[in-house]
Amino acid sequence: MARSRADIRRRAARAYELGRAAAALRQAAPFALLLVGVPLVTGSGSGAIGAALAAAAAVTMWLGGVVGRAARVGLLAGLAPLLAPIAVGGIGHRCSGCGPAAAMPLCIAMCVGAGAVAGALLGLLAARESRRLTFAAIALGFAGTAGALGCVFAGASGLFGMAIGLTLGGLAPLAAAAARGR
Amino acid sequence: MDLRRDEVNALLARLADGDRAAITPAFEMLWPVVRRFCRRALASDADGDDAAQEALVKLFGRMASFDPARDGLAWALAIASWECRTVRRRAGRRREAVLDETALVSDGDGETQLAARELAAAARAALAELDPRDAATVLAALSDDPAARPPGVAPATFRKRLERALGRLRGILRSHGAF
Repeated sequence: MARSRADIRRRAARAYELGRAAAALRQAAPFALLLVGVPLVTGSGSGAIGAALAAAAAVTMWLGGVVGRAARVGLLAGLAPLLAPIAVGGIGHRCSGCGPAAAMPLCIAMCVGAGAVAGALLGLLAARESRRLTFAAIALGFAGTAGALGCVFAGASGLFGMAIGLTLGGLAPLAAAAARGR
Repeated sequence: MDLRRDEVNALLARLADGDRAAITPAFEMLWPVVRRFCRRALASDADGDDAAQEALVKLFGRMASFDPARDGLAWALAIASWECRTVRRRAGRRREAVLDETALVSDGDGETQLAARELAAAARAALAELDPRDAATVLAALSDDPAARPPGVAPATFRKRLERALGRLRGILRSHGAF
């Protein structure tokens, strides 16, 4: 079984890629379940977008580096607005007819709040990165898309509210980090 | 050595993060260390090289789960140590197969066959206690295959090694009451 050093290195490199691919699939699998499952459960019917997002996340996690970290954090942060419709359903609120004209647009408030939580998480973690703008942009993309799959139930107002929350929540920690000169 | 440890840790952390540019330097840094470790652990250059290859392939395969807070060199040697154990076990199974074959080829009635099997079992137990190099020498002498003999060892040297190994084997068998 004598192999040259170069052969062994090639085998090791192949094992490395396979190992990373397996790890990426393992990490992306729970997100895939939620990204496909939540839209189906809430009836927004955008499971295909969720599946595409999960596939994109698996690819970025396999690539690794700032891109992989940002995708993971983005999806994690995006869980807040993604699960917002299930949360409001859990307290017995029905979102049909819940819009700006309603007396208490709870769904929109939930989307703004969940977006702000997601944004704050992204901003805090992006502030620790050396390539924070790249990280923030990629994470924002993943969090925004995942969140939109949840907040789409509240219509355009819900999506707009989530985007506002995400941007403001994310900007605060990034601005604080910039002010500290980091 | 501390500096080397830091370098290994830094390279493994880069690999765990997905930096492919660290594959070659990490391999070049780990290969001699892991190979030396396996050769010593198995007391055989050929088995050591096989174990080191498998260990490095497994190590790179598990790189995505490497925790940069851990000591990278210790992690690499733990995987190598596990691989050496696997190679040793495999060699043990090969040894058993050779002894079983030896027991089965002896012609004779049922009683003779049983005695041969009991002898093979006693020899297996004694070989397990023997130093791996001595065990390999005894098995090479038992085998009909000339390739089983260690390469590059002169016949006279091999005979001397075999004599010493058989002496130790006899000592072990005596302590078990076999003689």
